[in-house]
Amino acid sequence: MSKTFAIIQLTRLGDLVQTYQAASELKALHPEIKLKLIARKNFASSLDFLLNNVFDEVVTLDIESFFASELKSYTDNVNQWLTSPELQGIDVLINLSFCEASNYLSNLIECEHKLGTRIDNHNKVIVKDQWSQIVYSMVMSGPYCPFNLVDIYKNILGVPPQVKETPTLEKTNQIKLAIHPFASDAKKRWKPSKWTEVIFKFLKDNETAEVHLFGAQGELQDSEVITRSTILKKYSNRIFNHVGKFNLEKSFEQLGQCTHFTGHDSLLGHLAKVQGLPTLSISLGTVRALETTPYGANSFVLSPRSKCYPCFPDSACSFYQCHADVSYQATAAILNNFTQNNTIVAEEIYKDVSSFHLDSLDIQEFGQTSTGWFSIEKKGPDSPIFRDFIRDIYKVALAFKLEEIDEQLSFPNLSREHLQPLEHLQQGVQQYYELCEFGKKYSHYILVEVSKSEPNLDLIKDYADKIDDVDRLQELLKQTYKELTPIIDFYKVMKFNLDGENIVELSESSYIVYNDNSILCSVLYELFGQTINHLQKKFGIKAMTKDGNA
Amino acid sequence: MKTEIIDRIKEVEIKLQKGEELNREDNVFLFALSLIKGKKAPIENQTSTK
Repeated sequence: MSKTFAIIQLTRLGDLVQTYQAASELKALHPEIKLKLIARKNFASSLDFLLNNVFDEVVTLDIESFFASELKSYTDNVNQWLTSPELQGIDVLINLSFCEASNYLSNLIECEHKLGTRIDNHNKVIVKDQWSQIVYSMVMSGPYCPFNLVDIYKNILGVPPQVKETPTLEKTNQIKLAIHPFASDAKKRWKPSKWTEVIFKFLKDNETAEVHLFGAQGELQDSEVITRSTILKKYSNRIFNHVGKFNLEKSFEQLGQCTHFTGHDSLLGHLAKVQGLPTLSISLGTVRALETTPYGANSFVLSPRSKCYPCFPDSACSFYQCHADVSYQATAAILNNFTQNNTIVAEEIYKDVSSFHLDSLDIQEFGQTSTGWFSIEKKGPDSPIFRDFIRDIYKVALAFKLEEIDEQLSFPNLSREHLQPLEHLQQGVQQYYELCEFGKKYSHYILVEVSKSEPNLDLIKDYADKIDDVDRLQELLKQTYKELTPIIDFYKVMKFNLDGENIVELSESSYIVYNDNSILCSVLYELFGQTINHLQKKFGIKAMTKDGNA
Repeated sequence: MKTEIIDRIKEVEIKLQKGEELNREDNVFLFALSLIKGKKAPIENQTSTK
């Protein structure tokens, strides 16, 4: 008998497309599973042309239909929806949206097997599976999350990574470039005037190319700033403004008529990728390129090397340095190269464009590694940013820890100045390791004491207090070694979600988590150590012993 | 409705302070409330299970 899996995705359109991409791979692997999607009506209904290809049923949450003048009527309406037949008989419930509403919903739907986050009857967030713990502790919390969201979703759903052949794209004589020059937040998008410059240069250099602008009704005014610009007047016969004209289904069809896509982080990039278009994403502001780049082959990313990038939604910013660091001159040259070659030949760009424009940005290719997971690789001169190196190291360690997958990583071309922060970070890992060993020790002491015929409760309380101290010190460690934050947070979430109902089971789980964490620290220590040795050899520096002797 | 919501939140808070389990009605209310708020749950929302 086939099982029913229900996926909760209450967040926005882009997340829905990413969920669709992950779910389609689950469906391909297990066509016998009945797949349901629970999503907000306003988002799901505009994507039904896509969602219906994979999901056997889409259950929509129509918030507006619940509204009433009295609270009781409102909650009665919500409850009526919750008890509707389509939310019954679910065998596995997977919450992929990680928002408060979906956490409560996951708790309210009756189901024996639940994955993802939920809020329990004590109003605490519960995250039991490790891939959801990765999302909860790392996604959007800094620049170090080493996985794309679709890969994370696939891992939560139990879809193993699989290496796929990259489709070869035929070169075309008629370039039709789709552009979505907008995004949901001002930090994530250039002003229309900058896009005007890029489009002008692109159309000037490509005499037969067409530009197709896409966007929603609310973006029409900004699109007209571009199309009505004086400098684009002579190219108006090659600019097609579709903004606000089509619904999503029609926009999806129209994207299929184009040959390439470029734009900021938004839904249309994901749709273009589902259509199989090569994409060039311009990641700015809060966008973590690896997390949200359109998922699939032939994807490229332009991102700034600004120190403050990526920032957070609530970071104050009066001058968008990251916007300035990706110049229109460099973007236009890269766009030419991308549309003419269906890839980016970095050597040509670094030969033709001034380093004045290129030094402040990274050109990256988003593609599969030998593990089948997607990763981001810099194209052109190898000058990695320290934070990207740390992110890659975390990927190696977590791939090994979570799936026993051996992710290959060559030594990065770090500079001499990176040696000191690396050594500093290695010290942090060592201190973290020592704290985990203390955690292990006191968890073990509790187990020994409990197993005695007459356990000393005061002693058990003392040991429990020591464990509390260990957890507090781990928090302090984040202040000194901020790069360790994702790992410490990951284990913090694991620790909050210990298995067990009594002191023995909880202490056993606590021991296992600390032990697990110690192993991860050992792997990280080794990886940092090998990189330090490599750099010391490269720069002819003799290794120092702990007492300061060479 | 605003006053009703504030009173109901207080009820739930008192239950939680007393360490009582929330029932289905409470959870439906919190879910209904979160639909209006649409706010993300940060990592700090968690408290130790120790």
